[in-house]
Amino acid sequence: MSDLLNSLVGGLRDGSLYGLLALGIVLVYQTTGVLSFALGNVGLIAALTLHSLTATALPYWLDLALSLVGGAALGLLLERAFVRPASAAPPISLTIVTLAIFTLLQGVAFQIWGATTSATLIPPFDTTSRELGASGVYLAPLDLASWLAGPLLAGGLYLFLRSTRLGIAMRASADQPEAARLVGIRPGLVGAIAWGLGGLLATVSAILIAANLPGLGATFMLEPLVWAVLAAALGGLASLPGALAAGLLIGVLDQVLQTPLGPLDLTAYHRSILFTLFLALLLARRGGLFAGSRLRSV
Amino acid sequence: MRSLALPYPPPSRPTTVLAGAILALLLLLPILLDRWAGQAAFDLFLLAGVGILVIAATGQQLLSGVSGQPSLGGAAFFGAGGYGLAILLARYTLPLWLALPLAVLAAALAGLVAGLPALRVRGAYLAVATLALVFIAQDLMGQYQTQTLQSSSLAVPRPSLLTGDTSFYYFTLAVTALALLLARNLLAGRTGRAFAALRESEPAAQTLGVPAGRTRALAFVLGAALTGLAGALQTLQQGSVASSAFGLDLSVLLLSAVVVGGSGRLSGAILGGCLMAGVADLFRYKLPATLGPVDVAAATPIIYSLLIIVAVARFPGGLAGALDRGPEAQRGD
Repeated sequence: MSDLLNSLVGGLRDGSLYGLLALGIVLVYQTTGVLSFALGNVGLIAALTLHSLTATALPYWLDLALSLVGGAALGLLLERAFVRPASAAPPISLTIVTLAIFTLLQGVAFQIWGATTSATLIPPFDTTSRELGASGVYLAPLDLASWLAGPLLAGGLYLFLRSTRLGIAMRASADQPEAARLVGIRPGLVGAIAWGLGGLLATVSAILIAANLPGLGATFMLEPLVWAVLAAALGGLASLPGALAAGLLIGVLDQVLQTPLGPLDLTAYHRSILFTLFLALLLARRGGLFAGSRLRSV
Repeated sequence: MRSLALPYPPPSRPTTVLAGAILALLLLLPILLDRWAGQAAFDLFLLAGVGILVIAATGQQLLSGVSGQPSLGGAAFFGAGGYGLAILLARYTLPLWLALPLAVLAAALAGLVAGLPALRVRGAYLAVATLALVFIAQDLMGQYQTQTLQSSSLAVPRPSLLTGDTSFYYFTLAVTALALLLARNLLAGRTGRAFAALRESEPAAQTLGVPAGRTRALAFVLGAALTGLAGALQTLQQGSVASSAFGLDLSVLLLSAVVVGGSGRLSGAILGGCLMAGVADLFRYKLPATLGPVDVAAATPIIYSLLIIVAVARFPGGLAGALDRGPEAQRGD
């Protein structure tokens, strides 16, 4: 039983971070129609930058702020420099472009930071697990921070889209692109802001994922990215709460499937099982698990 | 709204002449290389690799380009053909003439399974669904490798007739030419028109009597079969097979050949396949390991990605589109 509860602790931690990345993917897809694989490695670059900044004399809060702003700026810049110029190409080409950007950023990270950096954890996250009473359930402060990050940022995004001028413009643009243009909303601006926000969300996700890793490499965001893309698709590529919930579901299932349960040990096949479950869910509810809760209605 | 053009124009005289000239040149190439260049065997080895990528790109073109079903599943089909051939040759010691068609059949079956999601979902969802298939296939191949074979790769003997680089070059050339001829006839006929009609508008295609579900599935089967043929040839060329080679990056490579070359046309797959394979070979084998302060091998993914990004921005309809439609009609759609 405590095994299962520990899987739940870890699953919700990972899932919340996959969900965060998925929020950015949904935001970009809704406003620009591009399935963005690039965001995962925007987070990678920003997290590795934070790793380097913590070695300098700057105060930690400034390191963190620089990394977050850097992640958002990188997202925005990539949209301007690489995605927008290709906007005349068909969707499949744009998807390949975002995959190419993903590889590009990975190559850059490899050039700057090498294959793996030393096992330095990103402060100030405390990853020491403490047993809760005598329950056999272990919890680290980092787990709590990760649990909170998903819902808090999703809530912040919700408020932004609901109550600010820019947020309303973004929803209008996602909902009725033509009408939004007619009332003077610039689609290019909306797309760039979406990429910037996506970069910010990816950065938070990557920093918290990195904090839990023993060492950082140039490829540590590939797996989270794949789960996030799956989560975004399960959320119908349209729903923010749907993407977050699907991220949590994937995170928990991934951990539970890796826990040996009873005599039938399927842990070696956990990834195949999870991907198959995903396909079954996607095909059973093709509008997403939470059809109806679109971005336009938040 | 674009008019419903044929996916491939009727054979024109210049095209046939050009194809014949290229084929003649490729047939004579081993002799020419032998006379004027050293290291001819290795160049022929690389050229066979170009042919293999052209076949795979053609398969992806049928599926993602012509029939308009964005599939990231290329690596799974490539792997199905590659693993199929490896197992049939190395474990069951079948002769090549029997093993190769069976490996292609295995890939076609994988395509049929992969096509099931396409009956329910479209566009970006289909891309994500096929992405999941790549990871499932790679995981299963890896499990087979570690649990049944208990090694990280499976060695595959090349039949004695094909051991030389020159004979393998001619073999690949013949298979590539046959595959392209087949794809060409397919696209010029009823099937190709049905694919293109479905891509442009499903309701319109159905009104014209195109069975949507069956045609989508057929595109998956044919695309997977060609991609699997390429995978089988590569296994034969490399002499071994390992599941680590059939990941997402292979899918991206195959699809980027289609996108850079030109989506929706056979010439796009040929141009894209040649370009992507050529650039890869250039960086891996032809350039020095370091150019000044730059580590060429480590910089390759960066340059490769930039090439794709710039090519799509500059030629949205692909190189093939830019070449034959002139600058005024370069917009892809």
